[in-house]
Amino acid sequence: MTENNSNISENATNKTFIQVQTSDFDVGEEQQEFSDPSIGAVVAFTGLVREFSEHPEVQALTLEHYPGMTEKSLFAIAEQARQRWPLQQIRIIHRVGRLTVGEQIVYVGVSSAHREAAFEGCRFIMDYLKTDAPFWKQEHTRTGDVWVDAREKDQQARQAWQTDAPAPQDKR
Amino acid sequence: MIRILFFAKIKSDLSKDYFDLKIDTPVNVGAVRNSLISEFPDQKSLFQSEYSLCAVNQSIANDETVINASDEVAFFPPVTGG
Repeated sequence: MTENNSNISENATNKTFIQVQTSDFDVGEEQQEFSDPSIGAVVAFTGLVREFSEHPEVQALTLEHYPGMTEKSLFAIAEQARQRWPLQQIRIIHRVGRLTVGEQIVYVGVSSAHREAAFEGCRFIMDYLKTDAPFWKQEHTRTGDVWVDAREKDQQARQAWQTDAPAPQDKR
Repeated sequence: MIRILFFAKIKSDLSKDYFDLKIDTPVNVGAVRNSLISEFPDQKSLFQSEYSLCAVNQSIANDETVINASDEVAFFPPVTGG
């Protein structure tokens, strides 16, 4: 299965940028992409590979994905966020392949005219990415490789958005 | 026949990227799931609904989703990205 740097997709009309890549990314360069004068707020989340508390002997992990479906599902998540908040640019980068502790793994950047939509849209996208986008982590230990189990709390975070009252529009 | 793609633990436990399941179409995901459990009785837990998801044409499906002959079908564990 391909683990190469690939899958660049950009839609100029709704300004959603999705990329799945093996290489690292630069958060500062990403910030520069938010340049429209109507932008009042940019909220960006960066996920890192943390120490492996469940298996302390783990040295690294490998991220596998489902090429094609990955990009499709990330676009669908971005569109769902746009239906709830007046978002401008959405940029999602997710790395695949082998990663070690401390490395950047995922970036979600969202811009809007006002901060409420940007904060909530960014969090919504991350919560849905955790349960809907086809990525899988495998931890590497001295005694073998272990697939990471899905977490109930990630499902709960996603479900919390479904039970929320309809999202307020901007300009509160 | 349906070609079923595997990912992550299902792929590594079976040592297969895909499996060509002999089954008539159209057929629903639940029937395909049961057929896979019959084909791999020693690893049937991989395909039980609490441990696996099915995607049809790269969208998450449920057991009632109908699969046609030309559809892309995949089984994989609950996702763990981010």
